[in-house]
Amino acid sequence: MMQFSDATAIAAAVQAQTVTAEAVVTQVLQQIEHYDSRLNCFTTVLPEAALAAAQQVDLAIAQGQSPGPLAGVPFAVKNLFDIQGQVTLAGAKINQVNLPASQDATAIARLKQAGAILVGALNMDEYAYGFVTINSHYGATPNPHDLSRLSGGSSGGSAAAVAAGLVPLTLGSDTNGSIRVPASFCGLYGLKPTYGRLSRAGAYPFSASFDHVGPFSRSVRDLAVAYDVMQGPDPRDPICTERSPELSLPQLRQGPEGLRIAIADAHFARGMYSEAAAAVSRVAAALDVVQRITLPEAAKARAAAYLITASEGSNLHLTRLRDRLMDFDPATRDRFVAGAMIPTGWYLQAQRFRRWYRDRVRAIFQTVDVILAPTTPCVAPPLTQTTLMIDGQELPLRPNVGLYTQPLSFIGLPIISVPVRLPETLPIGVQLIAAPYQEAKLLQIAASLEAEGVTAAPVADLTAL
Amino acid sequence: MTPDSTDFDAAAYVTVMAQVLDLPIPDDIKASVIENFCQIHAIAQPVIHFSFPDDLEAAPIFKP
Repeated sequence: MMQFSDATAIAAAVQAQTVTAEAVVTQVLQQIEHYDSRLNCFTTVLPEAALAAAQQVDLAIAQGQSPGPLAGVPFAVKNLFDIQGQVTLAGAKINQVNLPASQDATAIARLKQAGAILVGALNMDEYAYGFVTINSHYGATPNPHDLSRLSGGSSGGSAAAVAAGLVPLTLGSDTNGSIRVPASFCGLYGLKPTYGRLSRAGAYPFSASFDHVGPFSRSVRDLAVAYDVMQGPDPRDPICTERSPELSLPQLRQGPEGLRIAIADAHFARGMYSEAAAAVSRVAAALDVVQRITLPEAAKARAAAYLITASEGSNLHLTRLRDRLMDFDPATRDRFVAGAMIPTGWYLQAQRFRRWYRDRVRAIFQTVDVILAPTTPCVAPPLTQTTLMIDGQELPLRPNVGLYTQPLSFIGLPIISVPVRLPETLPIGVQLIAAPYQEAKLLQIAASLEAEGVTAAPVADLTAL
Repeated sequence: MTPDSTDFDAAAYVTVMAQVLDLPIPDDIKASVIENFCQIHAIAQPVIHFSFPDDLEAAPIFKP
């Protein structure tokens, strides 16, 4: 069997004609066929379209053309992204009756333009409202590193598919942590870019104030390439920035020298299990960071994020809550109904707090470039676990997995979750957080950590399957 | 002053809001909806009692 370290290695081999894109895609389809009945990552596989696209890539190379930096790279997407000709499920049974999408989501179209080949769509929590990827309609997606544990969510299928080595690159969405949480649990690099940096057009919405899209990968260079090719204005997404793309790949080897880095304390230093604290310490030590910094009122930021998410998400689904209530996943249904009842004054207060908090955090970024914080309070918990111990209190697991991610997506900061693997434990993520539009700095630091072996994203061992 | 959240009658509020929203709630899930709204009510308290200057607007077009 062909083995490639990452998407970039596949693209190099395809460009050099040492392997064909068709052979790469054929192998990926065989792997999905073999493993996915147990892993439950995919809700749709597109073998005919993928093989046809691979043949086009091979033909272009044979004719001396360059299909792009992701030539022949198989990828898959969370099933809330529109795929032309497919119904966009967004994890919901209710959406099965919708018409097929008339065009690809912008993020998919841009990856395809770079030569990547779409092989399918991936499982998620219903309407992206969850951190666990346990879906009553489409099943649970377990963690490939330990099938008795959570993959995280809501982009759990996107993380598990990469962690299992089924595909080297996937797309997810992140409203309150839905890229970073599964990246942490599955031991991957996950990028939530600046709010509005990547087009969300054709990605089924959840909470418009916070919705982001972004990639998962097993290498930093793959994350950089995917991010770079997806940048650019898009009139189909009203909040997509009109700033020019800033390519991160050419800056990847600049390293962390000269960057001011600090560790987040207060809210971000409380409530975590020992593995999370050890992972932050390991990254901080590798970067020689001792300075600590406080993001004021982070707990209120998390609460405000909750109110806005529940208000906007419930409003989005109000008609469906009236007409199809009992077809919702019970895990989302009652939260959506309760969220529909939030008074407008609470929502507006939370939006004003968002502006207040953004102003304070902007000021902090005058003195530091990058902040470190845990991604999740713990490694992937068992699928059956329902509570977490946070600061000595036994609290519900599902909402509290986002303890450290919610106060940051709340103000749209760019963040990479990098994977740390300590001895005798499952992987866990550390968030690298920067000021808006400073993704390149994050990728520089992540590349340095990866080069020093501080972070790594090995494929899960599937030999027992 | 922050009101005591235990004074809040979530069941009555959910019943009225279901009528206001024309969103009938089957009896077998009503207790869960009430419990969820109680959680939202508790989460909301520190945010809704936070004071701002009058000129602090929400960001209508949010630029991070």
